[in-house]
Formats: sequence, structure tokens, C-alpha cells
Amino acid sequence: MKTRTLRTFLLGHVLAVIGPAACYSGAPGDLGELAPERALQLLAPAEGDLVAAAPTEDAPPAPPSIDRAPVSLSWPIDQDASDLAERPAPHRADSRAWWQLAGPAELAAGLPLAISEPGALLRLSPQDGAALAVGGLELVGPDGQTIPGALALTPLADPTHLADAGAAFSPGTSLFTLRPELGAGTFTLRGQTSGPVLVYVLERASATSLSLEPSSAIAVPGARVRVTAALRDGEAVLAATSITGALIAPDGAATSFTLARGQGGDYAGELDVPAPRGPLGPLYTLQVDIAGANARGLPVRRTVTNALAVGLPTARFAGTVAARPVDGGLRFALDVEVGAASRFGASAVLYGTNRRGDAQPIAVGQAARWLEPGAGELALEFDAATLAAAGMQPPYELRDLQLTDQGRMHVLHRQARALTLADTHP
Amino acid sequence: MRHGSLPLMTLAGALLLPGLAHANVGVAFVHGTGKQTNALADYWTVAFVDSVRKGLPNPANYVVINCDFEQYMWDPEAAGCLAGQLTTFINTRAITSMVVITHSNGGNVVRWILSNPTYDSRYPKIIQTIKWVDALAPSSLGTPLANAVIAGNVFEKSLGWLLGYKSEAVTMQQTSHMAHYNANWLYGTAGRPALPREFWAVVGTDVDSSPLDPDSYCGGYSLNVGLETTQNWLSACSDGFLECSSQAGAGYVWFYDTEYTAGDEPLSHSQSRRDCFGLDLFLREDV
Repeated sequence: MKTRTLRTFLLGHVLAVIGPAACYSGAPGDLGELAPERALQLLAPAEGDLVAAAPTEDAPPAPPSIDRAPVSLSWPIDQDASDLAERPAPHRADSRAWWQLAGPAELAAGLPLAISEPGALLRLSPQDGAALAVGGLELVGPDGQTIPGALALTPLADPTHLADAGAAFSPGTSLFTLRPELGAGTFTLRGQTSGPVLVYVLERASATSLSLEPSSAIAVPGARVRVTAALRDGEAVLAATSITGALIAPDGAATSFTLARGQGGDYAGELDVPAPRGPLGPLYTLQVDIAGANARGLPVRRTVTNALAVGLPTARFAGTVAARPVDGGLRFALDVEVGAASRFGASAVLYGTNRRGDAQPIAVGQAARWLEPGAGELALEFDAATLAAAGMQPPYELRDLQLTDQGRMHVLHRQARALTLADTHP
Repeated sequence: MRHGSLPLMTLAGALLLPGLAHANVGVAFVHGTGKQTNALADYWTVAFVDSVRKGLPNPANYVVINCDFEQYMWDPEAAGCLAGQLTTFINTRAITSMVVITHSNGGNVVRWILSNPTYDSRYPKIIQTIKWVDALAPSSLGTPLANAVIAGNVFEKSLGWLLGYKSEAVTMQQTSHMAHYNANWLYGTAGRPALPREFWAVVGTDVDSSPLDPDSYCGGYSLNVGLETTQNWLSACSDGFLECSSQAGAGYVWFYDTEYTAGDEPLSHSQSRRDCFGLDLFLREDV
């Protein structure tokens, strides 16, 4: 039943490890003509590449659980260059939901609910964990009519069923649909509660969505990230009556930023990335809240979140690379400057040149080891069998070169085109 | 196979596909999100595991993993624990070829190991031993449901996680977070290099929860009722927890449930880890 193509068959069979000091035997391709060792430089970074600043010594220690044994290996890939993205584009998040934490006084007085489509899903999560009785709620419709909660809201599921299903909303959470025949517009939710309630509205069928995209998915303190948000109703670009943005650290600390409308109707803001707080590794949350009206003039709110990695420049590539043939394979020793000790990893995709003269991926190489502050080295090695099976010729290239701080889970360097081994002669 | 010096050989090994002709084949069951202490009974069921392992030349060559997959995939209690239990299994039973069966977020933890073989010196031997991965409903691209569960959570510094849900695994399975991890730390998704071992996804496409339909009771009726509700957050093709696009987002699609299940029944997210509609029989044939 599994359709194993030639590609997957080949992928499954060879995952090679290269010894550190084997002798060159000159078997595949033109590698026999390579100089014993070539001193090379990484190519100049291009726009969109991620390059670490001068390494800092001031970083929390890597966790003691991190492995300290060096590991280096590679495996062949049977993919075309067009199968691999040159560099990842930042993720664009979209939302048709909004949420707000409402206090007891706010709910007693009446919380406005912007409903742009009939039949919205309403989730109420009391923060004290005590489930709300729908009989204790009431809604005031857009026409001013007061409707008991039991008539306005249709329960969706027993919360225990949701927890059983793996949807572990906080204790006391209730889910309802707002009866579709009540229409859309500004409703008011009223109720007596003993504590704050997270009010979450999902308008699944709505054509109105808010998108959020950072200019970079990875940042260090002091970096400036451009954040773009757009509220759209189908093809129509909507204006906001209010818009706020924040970067929320894993420990909850929020850094606000402002967004302004550009000529095309989208909103953009500049975020100065603050110093990391709390443990390194977990992603930060970018959040934008917006209010406005949709193309039909109905009130609409949206909240959207996206992820941003914030870390410290604990190491960087020095830029020098020693390339040499090893036992019919290739070894690229990349010099690294380390500021704070950790387990660091290098990875890259080795490309060769096929019979048509096009660059084609050959293999993935990875290497990692514990490095103390100062000068270090990470060596990517590609074995003879992999190169021979690929049947490629020079020039060889290292693409998608990455340097990662594995102990602190941060990508320090990412370069789409990193190195070219253009000729095979001394 | 080449032989390097002892340090690298010890730490990385020569990672060739296990020889299949005389292989000592084993199967590992890797659960999804949650901290399991008895996943055999609580997550998979004995009936499911026993049915699948009948396909092994030696049915005793199996292990049911029990780890804390509430943590981030790279955590010592998640991938670290998994690596430890797989290594013990491989060593104690002299396994030379291992099929790994994962469910849900278990696929991400295994994909972490496959994508980051240099992160932990135990990983290369595990990868070397893996024949392939059968990923049942893997949450490869995350799920909007995790977005919803995390939405509005606020960290109260003085009181710890007071408001909302604490699980790091749920945080990780937000769609924006998985997009980040897939682009920067994991392989096998569109535009990324292939994994060193095949990752075959079984995709669940729908949920039946009618009280009058006996099929709704396979895997637990209340779970299926819950999953029918959570489909509100998901696209038309989903197993109640994950959209089909997420399940099919890494590696290769083995099959969409209704292509092969008995009665063309869909596999909800709770049914894709149980002996529902012949799923166990496909896996039995595959190991």
C-alpha cells in the first residue's frame, strides 16, 4: 500500500558518518584533483540572511542536561534544487477570532461583543475555574432586546468531552454558539461572576481576517523587527478604529509597539527587540488587537498572534573555512568564535553540479560539539559513498548554512549561499 | 560503511539502513501529548498493541514508550526520555530494524530526533536502527485548536501559570510555533531537506459522533463527541484535533483513512490510536 518511489528508497538506505581523520583515496568525481586543503571564506551574506553579531559572554548557562559528546554525520537527499526553499519566509498568521479578559465589574455592567457574522462561537473561561451557569448570563442584542443566556446561547459540548478529546481548555470553560437568528452587530454580555472571565469569540465563517507577519522570525536584543498587519474582508482592505501591538515574552512581560496605516491600507510598526527575559528557548508571542468595521459596516474585532524567536548572539562563524578531501569525501571545517559556552551545531546542504550544469542538492551535513569561549571549529563531512552515488561534479556549494546554539535553542546564523568550492585544482 | 576513529564511531556510528534479510525486527509505540506512565493501557490499549505486534517475527520485540510529552519536543523529559527508552529497547532486545509507530505529537518528537541527529549522541544509533516511521495523525504543522487553547493565557509572575493552560507541548503545537520549528529546526516539510528516514503519515479526515452510529463508539464515544465540537476550529477535512493539511505536512502520506478503512470509515483523532476499522491490521502488515 505504501508507494515507495525511487526517491524514498534511496533516502532510506544511506546515512553516512565520516571519520575525523581518514585518508583521501581519490575515488569519486574529480575529488582526486583537489588540493590537500583549501583555505576558503564564507561568501558575503545576502539580504535576508541571518548573521550573528559579535558574540556575547553574558548569557545564561546552557542547561546541564545538554550532551557534550561531539557528533558529526550526513545523509543523502534525492531532491531537486527547486524542492528546497532558498531561505524560509517568515510565517504569516491569520485570525478570525478575538479575545479579551473581562473583570467581574465589567461583566456586571455589560461587555460589548463585536459580532460580524451570525452564529459566532463563544468561549467563556472563568479564571477561577468555576463554570458559569448559562442561566446567570444575558445578552442584549443589536436591537436593544435583552435575551436570557439560555435562549441566546446554545451549549456546544460538555467540557469534559473536550478535555477527553485533548482540547484542554482551562477548567470551567464553556463553549456556546450565539444563535444565528439573532444576527450580527454589537451585543452586550452581562453576568455575575466571581472573578475575571476570558471571553473568546470565533467567527469561523467570516470573510474578515487579520494577518500578522514579522520581517524576521529570529531576532536578538537591539534588533528592529518590522511587523505588518492587515485587516481584510475578502479582497477589501479595512481601516481600524483601534490597533495595538505587543511582544510578549515567555514570562508574560509585554513590550508594546505602535502600528500605523500605510498607503496600501496595511498597518506596519517597528519593534525594538528587548533583552531576553526568563529562560531562553521558548518562543515569544507577537500579538496585534484590532477593532473596526467590515465591508458591510458591522463591528469587527480580531486578535492575531505569531511567533518570534529571541535569543542571544553567543557565537558566530569567523568566516574562515578549511575544505579538504577526506577518504574520497569532503570535509568543511568552519571556524567559530564563541562568547558563551554551549553545545553548538552547524548544518548545511551540500550541492554539486549535475550533467546539465545545474546545482543540485546532494546531502545534508550536520556537526555539533561543546565549545568553550574563544576559537572553535565545527566540521561538516560528506562521505565518499554519498558523493559517488550522487555523481556530481564541482563546483560544490554549501547552502542553507546554519549555526545554532543547541543549548539555548537559538539559530545564530543562517545563510542561503554560504560557500563555493569552485575548482578542483590547487 | 566506513570506520572512523573511535570517538566519532562511538558517537555517531555508520548509519546504514538496517539489513532487512536477517534483521531482528522490533516495533516501538510512541504516544502523543501527555505525561504517560502506562501508555499501553491508557493511550493505545492492549488490544491495539497486541494486534499490531502479531506482525513481528518475534511479537515480544516491542516497546510502549512512557514519557512526558507535555514538554517541548527537545526536552530531556520528551525526546531525551524517548531516546533513552528506545536505546534500552534496541540494546536489550538486540533490535536491528525498528518500525516506530507514533500518534499525534509523538510524530513531532520523533521528527525532532530525525532532524537533529547531532543534538544527542544517542540519536544516531536510533536513527540507524529505524526502518521507517508510521506517523498516525501527526501534528506536523500544528493545529488551530492549540492556538485557541493558548489564546488569552497570561503568565502571572507572582502566582505561576494562573490563567489558562500550561502545557509546553500545546504551546509548541500552535500553528505559528510549528511553522517556526519546521522552518528552522525540523526537516521533512515542504521546502525543507528530507528526513534521514521515511516518515509515513496516516491522515484522519473526519469525526463521527452520532449516538446511533456504532462506529462512533470505537475509540470512546465521549472523545468523539468532543472532537466533533473541536472541529469548529478546523477546516472541513480534519480528525477533530488536526487538519488534514497538518497531518500530511511532513514526510509522505501513506493513506487517507477512508481510502482503506473498513466501511470507508474516517478515523477521528481518538480512533487513530485504537483498533478501529482495521487500522491495526494495516500496521500489523507493515511492521
